[in-house]
Amino acid sequence: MERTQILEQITQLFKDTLDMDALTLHENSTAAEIEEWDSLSHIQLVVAIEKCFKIRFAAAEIQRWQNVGEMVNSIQQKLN
Amino acid sequence: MAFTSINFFIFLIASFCSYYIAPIKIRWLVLLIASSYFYMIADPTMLAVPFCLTLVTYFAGIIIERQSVASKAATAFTLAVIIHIGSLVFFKYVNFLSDTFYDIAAFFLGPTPPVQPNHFLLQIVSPLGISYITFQSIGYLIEIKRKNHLAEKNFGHLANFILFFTKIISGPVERGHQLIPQLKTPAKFNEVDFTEGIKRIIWGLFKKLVIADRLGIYIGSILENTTNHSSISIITACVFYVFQMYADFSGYTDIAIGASRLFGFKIMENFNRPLFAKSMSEFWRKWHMSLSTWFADYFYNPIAINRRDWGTGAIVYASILTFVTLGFWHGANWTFIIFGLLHGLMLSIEFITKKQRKKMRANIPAAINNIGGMLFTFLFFGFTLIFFRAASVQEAGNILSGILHHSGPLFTADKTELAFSIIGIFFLLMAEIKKEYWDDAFSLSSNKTWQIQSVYYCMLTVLILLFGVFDGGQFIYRQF
Repeated sequence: MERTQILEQITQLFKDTLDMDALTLHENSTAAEIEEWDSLSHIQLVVAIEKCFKIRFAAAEIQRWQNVGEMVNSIQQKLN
Repeated sequence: MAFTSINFFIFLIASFCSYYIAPIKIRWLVLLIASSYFYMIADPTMLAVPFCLTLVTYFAGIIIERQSVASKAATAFTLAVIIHIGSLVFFKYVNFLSDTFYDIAAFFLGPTPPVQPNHFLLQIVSPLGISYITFQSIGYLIEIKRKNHLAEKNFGHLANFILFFTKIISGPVERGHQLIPQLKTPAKFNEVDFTEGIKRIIWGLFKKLVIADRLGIYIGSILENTTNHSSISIITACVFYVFQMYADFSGYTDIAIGASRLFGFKIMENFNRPLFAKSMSEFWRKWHMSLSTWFADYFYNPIAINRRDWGTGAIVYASILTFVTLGFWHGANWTFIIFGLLHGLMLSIEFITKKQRKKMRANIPAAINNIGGMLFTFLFFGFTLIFFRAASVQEAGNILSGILHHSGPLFTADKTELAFSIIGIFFLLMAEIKKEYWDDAFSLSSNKTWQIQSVYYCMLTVLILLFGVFDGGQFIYRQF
């Protein structure tokens, strides 16, 4: 799957999980820039992504993510 | 050596001059000698403890990084964490655990069980800043283990990161990857850093000596004698205590940040106007940020991620466990555990009801939502601080009972202190409101004209000298 497609899908997941219809995500987006994206909702996002793409991340992998782009990297690696 | 003492400022000036006079290559050594001296003055018998713990962190970091066999790296990491947590438990919690064991034994075996509490450890004073040494070291090692950052090979730089005197007493809990690069490339004397540092120190001293300590006098006269005070007086003291706590702790942090800035270092901010938080989850993103982000990154997240299949249960479980631990970290007392538990429960409730609350708020004007949220957050935090301040659960119970049952007028016997308290809160709120809503508007503290800035900070200094409380009182957070 292409990176842009993954980014589109996770943008929708972010919108649904964080209840933010007007959200725009970039590869460089970080939790610090999105008020609703805190430690509590982060876990919900991880679960939503795993369900949507039918993949499972390792705990260490999740803890290494610094921005949305690194999330996309992990998803792409699992899908290919 | 309290940050508000003359001795500290003599020491700070001496360290500052020595640092900039010394050649750049040996500045790390000047800083390390200054930090060791600062530590030795406070706690001469315990100087070996922070250095031994730093040595553990130093060698563990290098072993974790170089060990290609994952299980061996994990063993080195686990061993280092056990040594750090073990030291923390030994110095901070052994008496509490021994007392609790004795109480349980007394409950089951009668009032004189064969096992007596062993208080030999009361002779040992907990080393200064042991919690902060532990947190910074563990955070540093986790980042190496996660392969996010490299281990520091120069022991001097690592020791300065962990033991730098400006933050050893009560933080901020600094991150290795943010401070070590600054320590490795010391800047030349910089006029901007110098003036910003001095300004921050003056504002911190004003918050501590004029606002927090003045409030402390009025609050103390009520909360240390609740049986003789009315409900309205106790409520007023509890509300004032929120401001005292904020002025005290953020005042300390301002001095720590300002003193670091004199040496050219930018350390973490700890507060982002928490009094304007509209929920408890927002509050914890604005209050004691260096510790709350540490707990989020290294404690809450690993627990919640590993239990994520539990759904909402994972978040509730991890939140409560995190905040009970955070509460217990403040001290070996049930009051702190209750403080943490209340915060963990409130965060969980906020999380579970998030969507419903958002729907409800949609029909209410934004201004009312915001003010309501701020008021609720303020009052809830104030309520939990009753447990934070009380020396025992019984004392907290007495305060709550006083709030519910004692009728009578507001305590005004000491009108001067009451007036000082109200004026102090007014000053604090004005500064916070200005920063929150009109940051770009006319400012005295960061005015483009240096003369106006100078007059403002001279005025603050005069106010500190005229109205400050110079009784050698320590910062509230020093004990943690």
